[in-house]
Amino acid sequence: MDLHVSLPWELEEEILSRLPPQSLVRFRTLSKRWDSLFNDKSFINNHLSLSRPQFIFLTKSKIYSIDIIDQRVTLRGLHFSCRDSNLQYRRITTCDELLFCKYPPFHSKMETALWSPWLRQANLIKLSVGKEFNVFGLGYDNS
Amino acid sequence: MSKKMIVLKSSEGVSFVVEEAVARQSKIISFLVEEFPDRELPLTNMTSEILRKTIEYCKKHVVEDDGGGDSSSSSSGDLKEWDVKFVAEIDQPRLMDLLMAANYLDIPSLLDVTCQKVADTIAACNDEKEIRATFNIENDFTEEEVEAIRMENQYPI
Repeated sequence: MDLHVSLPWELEEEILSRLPPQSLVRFRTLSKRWDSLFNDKSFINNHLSLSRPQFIFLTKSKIYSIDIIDQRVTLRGLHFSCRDSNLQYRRITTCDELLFCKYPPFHSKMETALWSPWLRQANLIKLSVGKEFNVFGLGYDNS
Repeated sequence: MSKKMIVLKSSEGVSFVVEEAVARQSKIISFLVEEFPDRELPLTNMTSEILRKTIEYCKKHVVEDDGGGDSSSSSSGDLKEWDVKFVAEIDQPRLMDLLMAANYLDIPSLLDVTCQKVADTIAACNDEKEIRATFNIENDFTEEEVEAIRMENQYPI
């Protein structure tokens, strides 16, 4: 490919906000500017409003991403290297591109994780309450 | 009833006579037509080739205001298909020019399809080298920094 013009940054951003999340991750190391978008809230919001239909499909041991582009459906296995590869989480809730899940009871501690399979990122959430609880939903607090 | 026509002039000085409704899909032209009626509009940073392509797109997307009938507009599915074909037939450098033109003339739907096409091209790239060449992007990372970022996306649990 050959390009004889340099795009203004705002147009580059416009293009990047239309990339599927797994490509964004793959090309994060392209330049510092591209990487900075990763922590840019307005870019993330724009990205969420523009992204094409994508679904996550869970089986007992694997995760798949289902993309719908121009009426074509693509199924792609997502890289998965969780310490506990048993995906039988009792409860999985989703919000935007995030999964919120609780480990099964046989796990010694009651641990909860916020997890993005597309971005291949996960954060364990330590709970200060000793009691069991159920998660019904996930949302944003914009205040 | 005759339709009102306006004249757009490319950077090479070629005049294009366009129905006003077609040209008004550009918010900039819409504004200029009101400010300067009956004047030729010079688009000094657009080549005839890109201007022709832009007009072709606008003609397809104009919503006919002729009192209805089933000729009023193509179905949105057909239009989407037409858009996909439209950008697929344009080579990469011209696609970037068209994207810039859509941005300059402020035609949101054309900006959307051209940006999406470029995004699809990027997503289909095999490596970063290919993208760096396309966008003239310099690699300002050290090996260590690249490694550190990669680690961030590897499931810490």
